[in-house]
Amino acid sequence: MRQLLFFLLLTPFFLFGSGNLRAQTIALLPVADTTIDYNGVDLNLTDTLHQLLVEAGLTLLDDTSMRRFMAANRLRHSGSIDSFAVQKIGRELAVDLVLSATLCENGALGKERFGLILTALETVNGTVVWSFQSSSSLYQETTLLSVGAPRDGAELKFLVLLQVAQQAAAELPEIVPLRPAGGHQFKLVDLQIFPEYVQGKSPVECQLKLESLAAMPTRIILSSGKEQLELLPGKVAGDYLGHWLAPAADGVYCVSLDIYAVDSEPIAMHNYASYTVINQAPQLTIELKQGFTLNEVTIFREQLLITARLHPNRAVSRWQVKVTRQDGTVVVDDQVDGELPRDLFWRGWNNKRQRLPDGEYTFTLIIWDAAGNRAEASRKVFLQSECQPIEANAVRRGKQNFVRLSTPEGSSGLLGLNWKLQVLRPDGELLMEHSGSSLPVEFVLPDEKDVDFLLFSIDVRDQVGNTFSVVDSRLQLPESGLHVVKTEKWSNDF
Amino acid sequence: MTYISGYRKRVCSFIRQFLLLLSGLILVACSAADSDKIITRVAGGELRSKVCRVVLLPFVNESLSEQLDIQAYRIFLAEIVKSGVFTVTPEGDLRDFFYRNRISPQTIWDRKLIATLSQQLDVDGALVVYIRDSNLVRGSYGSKQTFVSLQVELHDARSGKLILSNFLRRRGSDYIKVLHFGVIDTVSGLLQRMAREIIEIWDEEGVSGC
Repeated sequence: MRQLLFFLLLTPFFLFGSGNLRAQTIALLPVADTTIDYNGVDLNLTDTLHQLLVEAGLTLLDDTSMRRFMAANRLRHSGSIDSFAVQKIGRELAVDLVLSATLCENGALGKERFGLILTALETVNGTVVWSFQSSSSLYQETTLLSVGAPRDGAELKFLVLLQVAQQAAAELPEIVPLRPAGGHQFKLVDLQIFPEYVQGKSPVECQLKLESLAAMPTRIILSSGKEQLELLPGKVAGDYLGHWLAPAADGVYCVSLDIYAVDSEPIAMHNYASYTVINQAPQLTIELKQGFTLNEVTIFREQLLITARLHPNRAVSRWQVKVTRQDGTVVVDDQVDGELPRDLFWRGWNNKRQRLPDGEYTFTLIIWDAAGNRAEASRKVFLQSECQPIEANAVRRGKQNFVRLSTPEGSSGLLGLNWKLQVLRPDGELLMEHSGSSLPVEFVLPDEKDVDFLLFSIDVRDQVGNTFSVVDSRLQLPESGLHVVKTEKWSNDF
Repeated sequence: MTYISGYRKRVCSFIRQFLLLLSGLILVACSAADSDKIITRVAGGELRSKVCRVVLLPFVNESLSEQLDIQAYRIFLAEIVKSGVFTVTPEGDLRDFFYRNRISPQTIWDRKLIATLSQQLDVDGALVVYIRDSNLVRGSYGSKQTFVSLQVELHDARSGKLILSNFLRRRGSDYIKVLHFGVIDTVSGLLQRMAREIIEIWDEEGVSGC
């Protein structure tokens, strides 16, 4: 009884809609279901809406033709329909309007809500000319004494669809077909300029892809700066090619097109692409981290962190790293295509991933910007993976014994050392303790008459973190003259 | 006679009470409808640019409701077309622009890019909508109501400069007329009303150059 009353209330809509029948053919695109995904499609809802629109008095193109057209033209959903595609639908399928529907709300199970947007595009120029939206819920549709109100989600959905269909049937036939605006017979599918960044007077190439509703253009003129040239047809229909020399001066050069066709006025397309002329390389600076810099030489132990900066910042097409010995021998040479990484690491390895011997090297970074301009920066680096040795001597001057710490003759002495010395009696009693960073240095040994030797320990650390230690080594006290402790006994403490 | 006059008194009293109740309800309805004013900011304090053909840039969805950006996009497009205040570029033409210029739809729009868009799509206005929030809030008697917060910006596409900026936050109950009648229980319905409100404001500000 309730359902009967509901349909009786809606019957006048059908009758009213049928009266406005016009000879206007309309294509309905598959309903876009945005409640599930960005490009979802609801074909069942499309069929229902199609049926309701037909029942309301509109002349609709059959679904199969529309879907076949979409498949042939790679149109996946209504969001990808542009004005050119609408014009093409109009021409190829002989329709006046294209309807695009979007399901924007679809709740169920206690949250019964439904919303639909219907938009019409005319096929002469492909512009949006009409639109209608209807959204509702069971709560919103509650009436006094529940007379005529939808009972469930299905009835609500039907009610909303019916409202949309009736509105379309009432208003769409009123749309007067537009006159062609002219100049939109073509669609610029793609326009590419190779390369995008060039040096002055270098060759530049253009590839244009056009789609046309009628005949292809008779002439296409490309303008860029003072340059003007005619693009020539490629092997594939709709493809056009051209090449020219870039201007000498730096700058961004926009590309415009003038398209001439038999059946329409010339079409001007401005600023559809651009290319940039750059003649000067950016200033490249490199900063070395995780090392100790002394007299413009960066000393490192395990790895070197290299940070490169470009001023002005610019895209890099490729870069190269070169490491050379002092005699000019190249030990590392690596080239990479693409952007320069933010940070580079060098672990003191050669190209075969073998550790290089300690010594001085020249690290060079070379970059080529997108236009092919070359920039280079070099830094001197010193690989030091071992601590500099220290000699300990016991000497006698007059009536006193001294312990003397010094570096062996011929050592490079690039880095400062921090050392700590402990001297002990043979029974383990601590006699003296000193630390410092300067060398050579001497300390008076306590007068121990009952022993002929002492024990000593030294911890040494250089400024890049290399360490050595000597533990409880024997220091022979001189009767007269000198006693040298052999450095071969020292152990590397990594 | 006494009986008749008593009956009249009772009828008059009933009518008086009914009118009082009705006026009360009308007052409630009016106060509900004018709950929040739309905050409109005019860039530079003076409106100079007029636009006619607008393009809707992809909406920015900061809410937790998935796909609300695409739904709001199509609702705004539909309302602009319906209003006749501006003409709108089809959504597919904007997609073509993205493809042709190798731009991601999530790109950050600057003045230069908007100016390029203006030249290629032949538009003089660009609409950017930020969906700041959308959720359910507790209404009267434990009911839940939808609400949406929007920031809408209209740019002069030729120069990329901002013309107008609006911020508004609406609940479904803001549109109640009497009892529950007029309540908007759907997000899409609420967005439709909000879009309509904004377009009306812009029309009043004299932005339309059509």
